[in-house]
Amino acid sequence: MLCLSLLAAGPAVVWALGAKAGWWNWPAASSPVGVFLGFAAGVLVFFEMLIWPRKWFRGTRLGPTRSWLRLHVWLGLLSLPITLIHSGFALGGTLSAATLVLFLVVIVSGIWGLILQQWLPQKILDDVPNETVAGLSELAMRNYAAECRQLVLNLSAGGEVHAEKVERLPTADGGVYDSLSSFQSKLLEPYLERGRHSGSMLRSRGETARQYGRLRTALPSAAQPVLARMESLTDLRRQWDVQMRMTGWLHGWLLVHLPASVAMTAFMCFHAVAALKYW
Amino acid sequence: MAAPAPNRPLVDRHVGLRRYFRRWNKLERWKWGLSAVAFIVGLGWLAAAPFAKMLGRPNTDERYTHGPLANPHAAWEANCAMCHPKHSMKEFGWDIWKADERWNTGFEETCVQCHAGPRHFDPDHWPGGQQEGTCNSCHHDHNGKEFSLTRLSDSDCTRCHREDLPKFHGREPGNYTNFATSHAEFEVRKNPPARSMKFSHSLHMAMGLTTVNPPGNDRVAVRVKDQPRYKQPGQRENDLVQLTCASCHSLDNETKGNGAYFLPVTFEKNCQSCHFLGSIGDGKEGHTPLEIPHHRQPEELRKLIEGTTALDLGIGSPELDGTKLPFVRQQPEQPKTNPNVGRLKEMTNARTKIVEANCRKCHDFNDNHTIKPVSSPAIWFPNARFNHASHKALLGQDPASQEYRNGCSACHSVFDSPVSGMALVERENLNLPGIDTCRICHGPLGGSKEKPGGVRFGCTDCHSYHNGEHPLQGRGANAWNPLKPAKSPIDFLIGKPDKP
Repeated sequence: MLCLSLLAAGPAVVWALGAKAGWWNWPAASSPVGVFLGFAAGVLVFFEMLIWPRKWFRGTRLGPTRSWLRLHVWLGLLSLPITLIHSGFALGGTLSAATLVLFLVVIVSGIWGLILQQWLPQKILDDVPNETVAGLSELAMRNYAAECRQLVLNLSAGGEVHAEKVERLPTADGGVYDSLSSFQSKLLEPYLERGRHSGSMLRSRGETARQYGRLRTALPSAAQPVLARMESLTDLRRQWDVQMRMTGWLHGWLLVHLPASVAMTAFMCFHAVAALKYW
Repeated sequence: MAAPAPNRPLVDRHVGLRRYFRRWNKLERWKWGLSAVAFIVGLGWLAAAPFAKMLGRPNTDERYTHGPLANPHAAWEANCAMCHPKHSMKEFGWDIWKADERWNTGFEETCVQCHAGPRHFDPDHWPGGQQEGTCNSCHHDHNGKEFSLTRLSDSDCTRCHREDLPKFHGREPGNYTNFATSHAEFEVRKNPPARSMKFSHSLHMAMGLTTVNPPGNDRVAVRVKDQPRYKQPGQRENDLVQLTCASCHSLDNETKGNGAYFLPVTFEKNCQSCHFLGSIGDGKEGHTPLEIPHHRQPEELRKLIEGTTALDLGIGSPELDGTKLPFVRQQPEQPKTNPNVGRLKEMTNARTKIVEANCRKCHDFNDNHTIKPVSSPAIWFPNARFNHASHKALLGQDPASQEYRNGCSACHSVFDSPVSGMALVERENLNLPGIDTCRICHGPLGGSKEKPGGVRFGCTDCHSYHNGEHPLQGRGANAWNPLKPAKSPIDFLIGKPDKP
């Protein structure tokens, strides 16, 4: 693919140098070459958009998705010089300007996404040993919060009360596990459910260590395994917060790339019809 | 019972959620939502045009234009088809690639409906071929209402006017890519017309019109009392005459011009008051002497002198060799006498010699004893334009000062040439400033007092085309000449060029 791109770039460079030397003119958008390049760019854009429905039919034998992605990237990059030559490096009217600007937004966001995808997955692997499926972390954490609630309840009631029967721990004033119960309901559960958006002091690693150290000293040995499990889940939540933040960067560019692609494709169709109608 | 697999806890997190990938997460929802919004908003913007047309909005196609039209064309802002003929998709075959051809063909025809000027370019020599050699190759509209369609960028001109392209305007091609750096010297400076007159600006600009310094000889020096029309402010009657540039040179705003050019210097207006050509004849028997007229060839003058001399000799109804004398004044009928032809010829020759000496004072003669026509053109730069009124700041700031009155010398070096010792140089060098004089101001910002620069120096700041240097109905056009056949009003309005 790189070779193909270089092969395409060679004539373009010769062309540009010749135009610079005055041997021939840079092609106008309405010249035969300009129109041909416009069509070529249009075909490439339509192909680029096909990767979207391709993802809907993952199970269909349409070639490896990896190959589709490679073609998407390289042909997308190839469409940039083709489009710029077609435009004559000018914005033109409002419609063509909007189309070109959206196209550049698509290209820039795509390149940005490409860079992030080369780098962030490895960083997530390094920084988040307990990585999970990004879309399911909130659901899983809700399960873990319920597990903690159940553990504390079992500890307080000697293991006879089931979590599904009690929404929240009963207040046990003066009880041995009051401090644990309070910690679970006021600090741990909000943190596990909402993570860094909860406002919990457990967001801080140092504060977390202090809280668990205090509880470890205050509670009897029977509570130590529960405390260890809680601490590991708190750490998991922190890791997943990091993962979510990095996943946001990893996929967030699509929020620009995709809508801009959709709008650009629509504008491009109108631009082609209008240009052929008037020219 | 077998021990659970090590990854079991990782899997058990998602019990009941195994088909998670079929459910939309937050990112998917935003992705689809924003895409739908972008599509709907974009489509809405594009689809708004037909609705706007239904609501009577003037220009519903404005999203397709490259910008507002220039003022002269602004009336068609909402009517693209006025210049760009529409095409239906059915018309397209393989020529779909030739979009510019479809566009320019109709465009060109539309332009000449109003602008009948001849094409400036030769389409066969156009760098991009004939299809590109159209009006809009240089005149780019859709650049805003205030954009000038005739003030072109230099690149529009220099893509043809370069060294490596064929001859233009019958001259050798030169590298004219930039006025400030590579424009050749003006053609009239390189090949000045042959001078057919003797004239010394320095003599005429000298005080008392004498080169004797100080002018102590009253017989030579001209005093104000002799030529009161040249009296300068503050001068007394006995002071010496001091001519200024404006004593002889008048701008064309005195007639119908805008002060761009100077009117031609004429003998009757500018020379005659000092250089009276004299008169011939005794004035006997009620005849008035003949004042020698200007604009006559020697042979014509000779006949006039001969007729006048015949009257002075009392020869009667003057007929010589059967030809009636071309008297310019009324002749009384007189009886025929015996003409003294020998005496008549003798006096005519003597008088003609004196008159011809007056002619030779200024004019050169051809070999066939005729006076050469004066070669000073009214317009020195026939392929460019110049506006003297625009350069009035060079005169200075005090209209009463001598520097102001001679301010033309900022560009015209009339005082540098004529007197070499006591010998008068009667044929001055051409006092037309060269390109370097123009470049003092017209060029990139120089920053120094000697070469300030900064004034525009584009090709079209001096050059214009299509109707030569007489665009439309301007100076020199036949339309202004009552002796030439009049054009039809339509041809006049659209600027149809004069027939050769």
